[in-house]
Amino acid sequence: MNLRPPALLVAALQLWRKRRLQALLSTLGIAAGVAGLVLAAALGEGARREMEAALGGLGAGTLVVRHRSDAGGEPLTTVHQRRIVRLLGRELEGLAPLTASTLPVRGADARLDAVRVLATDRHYARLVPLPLRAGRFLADRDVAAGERVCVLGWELGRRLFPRGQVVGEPLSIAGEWFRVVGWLQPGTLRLPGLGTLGLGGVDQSLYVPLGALGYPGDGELDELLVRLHRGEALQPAMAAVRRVLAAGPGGKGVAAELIVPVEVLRQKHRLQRLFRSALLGVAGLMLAVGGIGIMNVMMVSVSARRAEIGLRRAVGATRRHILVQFLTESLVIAVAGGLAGIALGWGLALAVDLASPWTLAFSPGAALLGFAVSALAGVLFGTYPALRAAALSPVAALNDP
Amino acid sequence: MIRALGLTRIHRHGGATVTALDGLDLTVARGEFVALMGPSGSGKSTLLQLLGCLDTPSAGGYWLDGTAVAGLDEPALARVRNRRIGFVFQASHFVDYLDLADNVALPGLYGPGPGPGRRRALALLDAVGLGERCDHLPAALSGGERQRAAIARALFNGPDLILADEPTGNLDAANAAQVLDLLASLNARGLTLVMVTHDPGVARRAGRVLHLAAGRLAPAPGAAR
Repeated sequence: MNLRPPALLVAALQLWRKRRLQALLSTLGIAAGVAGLVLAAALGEGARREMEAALGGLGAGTLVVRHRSDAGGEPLTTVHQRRIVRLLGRELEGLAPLTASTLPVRGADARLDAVRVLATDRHYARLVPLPLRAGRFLADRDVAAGERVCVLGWELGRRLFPRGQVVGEPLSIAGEWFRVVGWLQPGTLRLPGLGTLGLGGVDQSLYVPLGALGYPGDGELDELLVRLHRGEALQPAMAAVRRVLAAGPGGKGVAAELIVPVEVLRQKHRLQRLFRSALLGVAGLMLAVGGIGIMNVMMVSVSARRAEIGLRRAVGATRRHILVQFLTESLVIAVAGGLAGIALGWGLALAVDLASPWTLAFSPGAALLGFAVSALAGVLFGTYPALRAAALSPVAALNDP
Repeated sequence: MIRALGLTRIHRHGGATVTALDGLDLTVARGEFVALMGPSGSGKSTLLQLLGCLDTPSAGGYWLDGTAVAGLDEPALARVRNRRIGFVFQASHFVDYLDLADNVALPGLYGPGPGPGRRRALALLDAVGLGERCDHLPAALSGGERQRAAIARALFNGPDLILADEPTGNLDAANAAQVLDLLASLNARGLTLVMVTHDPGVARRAGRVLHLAAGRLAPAPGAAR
């Protein structure tokens, strides 16, 4: 094969010169199809990364026990906490109790009317990744001695102490004075919409020792954050937790919701998966439409260029040369569409990522896939017209007007 | 140079068969200038296509410089067309989107190795007096210019045999003479030339005139009387 690439490209661009609209429409079809593919891949990759972040940050064995105060059951208390710890035994990696209130907070120069105040103990920082910017997190002695200390989320610290000195400063929570002992880094855990208190919103939260606020009192809790060593132990552990909650001292049982963050994410991704399947279907359809368009425009091009084909054969082109020439032509149209589609899909993925609760991630693999699919479409739908061109006998082609 | 024995070409159109060539024997020596004459449908063009390896005979043998062409496969035939034969057609086909130099260099595209390409094309165009029009598209040329460019293209890969199918058929007298002079000068340089023509005046330039009738060689129409 001796047909040089520049000569091939010059020949391939003829389609654009002569049948611009048809070629453009075919290219657009391929572009739309590839964009759909890239978008679908970005959805999948985003979901995968979100899940990976959840698994990396929380572990597959994380469970949240959330008290439902509106359901009229008994309160969730430290008694339940101790029983669960005892029952789970060696399977338990860690457990943190949590109560939440929204309170007014005053710092050195700023006052905020509604701050999420979470009362917990040192275990919380073991279960949720909370890198410290300065100072320390809550310690056992803070809880035991009822110390008036607190730890600030990144954003909260910035707003309450704009001058930058945070640790060691005094701060008033609903009129009670606390000392800031720690300031967190910007949160690494980004899991919106899990419906729990302890996960998410780290940057805007304020942490105090359990019981330091003096209420809700009687060891009442809003949430238990539980982590098991193994994700497989989740099902039996949930059954055990349900037993403990049902057999409360009051006999009525605790109304609580058991939330498995990984499960919640999986649920959230279910709709995404459905959307992805639909998107793939439409993308396939667009690729087929674009491909058939390419086939059509190529057929027209071949019959309009019979004389050129005959001439090329007469001066020494083999059937194979002609085949390669026309395949290059369809390949150029298709790959142009593919490249446009990759750019379009990437843009769409970015837009959807910003405008929706879904996480999308563009991967080089998706671009590669889009490129490969468009090239494949070019070859697939270009083969028949190219074979027709190659099958023309030099005489038949030359005798045509 | 050319030896054909019992050369037969039968075209099939649906059920009907048309015998375009009927057992024709022909020998052309190296360096000869042969004109083929005959009425329409006598098989001149078919013979030229067979000699040019554009078509394959239904029966009979054809040896080009000792090579049995009938035994060659399609890529080998393409190679023969590319290296050994130069064509000049009546309608002087060109690739309409390539400029004159690229059109003249077209045989080089399918030749061995990268080759001299445009530079050789420019030299050939200079030789036929079209050097200054090398970057024009074929559509911008007159009929005579197109035929001269076609001759330059035929020469690109240095063939031994030039096949011309009514090269002056569409030209006025002045242009026809120019093209004929060009062809005759090639013959004078030793190239073998086979030319189909209707025009006895044109045929007179050839060293030998062959008359075809009904697919066979026939005596000259005048000689029978």
